[in-house]
Amino acid sequence: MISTDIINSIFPRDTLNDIETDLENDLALFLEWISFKPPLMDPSPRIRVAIKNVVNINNFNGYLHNSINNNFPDITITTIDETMMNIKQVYQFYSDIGKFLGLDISPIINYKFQILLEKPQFQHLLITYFDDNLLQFDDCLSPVSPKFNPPAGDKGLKGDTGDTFFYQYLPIFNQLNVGDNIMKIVVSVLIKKIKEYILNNCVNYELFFIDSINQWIKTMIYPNFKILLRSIDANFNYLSEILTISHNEFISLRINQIFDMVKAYPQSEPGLIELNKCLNFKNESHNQRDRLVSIFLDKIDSELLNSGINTINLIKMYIKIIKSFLIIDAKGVLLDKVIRPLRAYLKHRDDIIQKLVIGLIDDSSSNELIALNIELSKSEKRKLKIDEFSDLNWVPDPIDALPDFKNFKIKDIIESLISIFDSKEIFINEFTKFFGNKLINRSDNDISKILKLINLLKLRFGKNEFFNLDIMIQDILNSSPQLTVLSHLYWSDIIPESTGSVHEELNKEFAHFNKNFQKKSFNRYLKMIPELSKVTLKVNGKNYQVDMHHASVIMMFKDKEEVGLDEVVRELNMNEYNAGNVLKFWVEEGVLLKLGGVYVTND
Amino acid sequence: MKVEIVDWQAVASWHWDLKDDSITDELCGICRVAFDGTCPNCKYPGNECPLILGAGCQHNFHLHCILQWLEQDTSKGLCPMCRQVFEFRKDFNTVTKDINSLLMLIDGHKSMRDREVDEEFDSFDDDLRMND
Repeated sequence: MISTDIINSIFPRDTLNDIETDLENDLALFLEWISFKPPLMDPSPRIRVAIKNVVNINNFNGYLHNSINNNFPDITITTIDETMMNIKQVYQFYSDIGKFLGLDISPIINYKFQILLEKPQFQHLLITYFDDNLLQFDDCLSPVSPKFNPPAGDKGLKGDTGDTFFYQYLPIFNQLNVGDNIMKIVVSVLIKKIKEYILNNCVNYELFFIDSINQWIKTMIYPNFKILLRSIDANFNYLSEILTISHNEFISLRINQIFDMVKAYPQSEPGLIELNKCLNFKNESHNQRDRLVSIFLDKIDSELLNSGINTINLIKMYIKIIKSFLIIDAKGVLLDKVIRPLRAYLKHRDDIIQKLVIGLIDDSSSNELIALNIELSKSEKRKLKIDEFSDLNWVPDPIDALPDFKNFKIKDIIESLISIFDSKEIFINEFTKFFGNKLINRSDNDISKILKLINLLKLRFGKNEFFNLDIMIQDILNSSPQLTVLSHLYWSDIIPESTGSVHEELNKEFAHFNKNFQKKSFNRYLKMIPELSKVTLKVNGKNYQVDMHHASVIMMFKDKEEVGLDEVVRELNMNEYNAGNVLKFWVEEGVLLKLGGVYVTND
Repeated sequence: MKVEIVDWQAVASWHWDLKDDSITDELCGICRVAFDGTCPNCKYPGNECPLILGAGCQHNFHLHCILQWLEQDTSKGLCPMCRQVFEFRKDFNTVTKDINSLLMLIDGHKSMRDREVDEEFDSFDDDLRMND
């Protein structure tokens, strides 16, 4: 420990010891009297004389300050009670000296206590004290109140706490003039309490919390703080500030949870709604908005943008991001910022178009992206988009929007997904293929359903994009159950390559269709598509509905009892594999028998 | 073995009969869309817009395409491909409004051409008389 002697030997300062006069004895007595031995002795007559002599010394006041500074006792920091009593004693001792001498020595005393107060140990002691007792002050009436009257008799722990603080500690703090320091400590404890409360109680984003936080602040926190801080600062009235602090803490928690919240949508709706409330509470929420965006983007990058996550889940997440971020920020500016990387990524997923198309079209419960189908079915009610230049309700884009912010494109789920791709053509091609297959294998019920769906899709993708499908539908509507006539240029995805020719008798039968068709069709003629056609045959008294190749093969047995595989291949231009499969089918049906290398009828 | 055809669910594609196997061109010379496709004026291909087969020449067009061409006086009723007088094969079993218009246009162009020839003759006669 550095002693005063050492300090003095390095920085020699004049103290009362240095005055070499006849007053040496007087000085010795005076110094002995002011050396810290509480309580301050009532000076004897001899000391009084000595005091009288020394106070007349030139610049006595300055010497006295230096002496006190050098000889100020160390205050050991133990328990709050002991420490406060210690402080009180030291303060009392020196203020008594001042009083007796009729001198104001408060600057040096306050300076010494200021240093003490700033010691980390002492700060820690006070923080712990307030932390433990803060919520127990409001049972006691603050001395600020003129009717201050401690509750008589029934003095529980809470009453004691308030009493101790207001009667014993507070007067000391007031005398030391350290209200500001105490205020700072109390505020830091307040923030700590709020943080703890929020972390311990408000983690579940499936529930609403703002009301209960406000309630807790108003009933638990604020009364205690008010009573405490009013005793230091009579004008204390910071309810709205404390509420803001607690809301900020709350958003901070929610911002850290943002990715999980989006993932949990719609269960997380309460959390999202409250995030929106708090972010719009004050205009200074820009930092928090930025933090929200950057945390979310980091998460997208680490959790979503990798090939291990399947396309369906990515699209599901995409939809959730739109819905969640529109709750947080209805203008869509935040959404626009967070969705971009995922858009860029989805664009290059091989199966994305196919998944989106099925998601839009399929209304069965097995559709994992049924949300898209539901969204599509709402299209009719959607307000027609008005172009920006003639919209009377036009408002400028929000100031923090990116330059190419497109309001309508970002908010509508289907529009947003379609606009990932530069052209709609890939969607249209996929729709054409999908509906083409449905139309070919149609039932009447399907057609009205398909027409309804296509009308909805036209609202989204534009009427003119569907001219190919319109022709396909027209073909089907003009067809009869016996004969479907296709405008072949528009069915190129559906019409398969030829895999063989048709038995002569079937061709002859088909010629009737052709003849009828030509009668009413100017110069048009028909070509059968055997791969898509079906015929019902009665073979040995039993009906079979088969395609033209199966029919053609069995027709060969009409006049012959025995046919070889090579004969089928040659006569019907089929490849060996297909011909073998067809023959196998008829063998399994019990119509044919395989005998060595040939097939015979099984009558 | 007894095999009977009970019922059909045939699927077929339709095609314009070009009545001439030597024709390999499959596009309308005016709109450059396939014969079996939709002309730019139609929504659907088929009876509304039959393929018009050239009779004097071997060029074929969608009905609406050749109609539009012949509606222009400058076409002078000639085939846009080979500049021969355009005639077409009238082997339809029905005559629609559009086909009727086509017939009238072709007639119109014919009489125009006849008048021009008459005028040329007349002026030639006049010239002769003047020289007399």
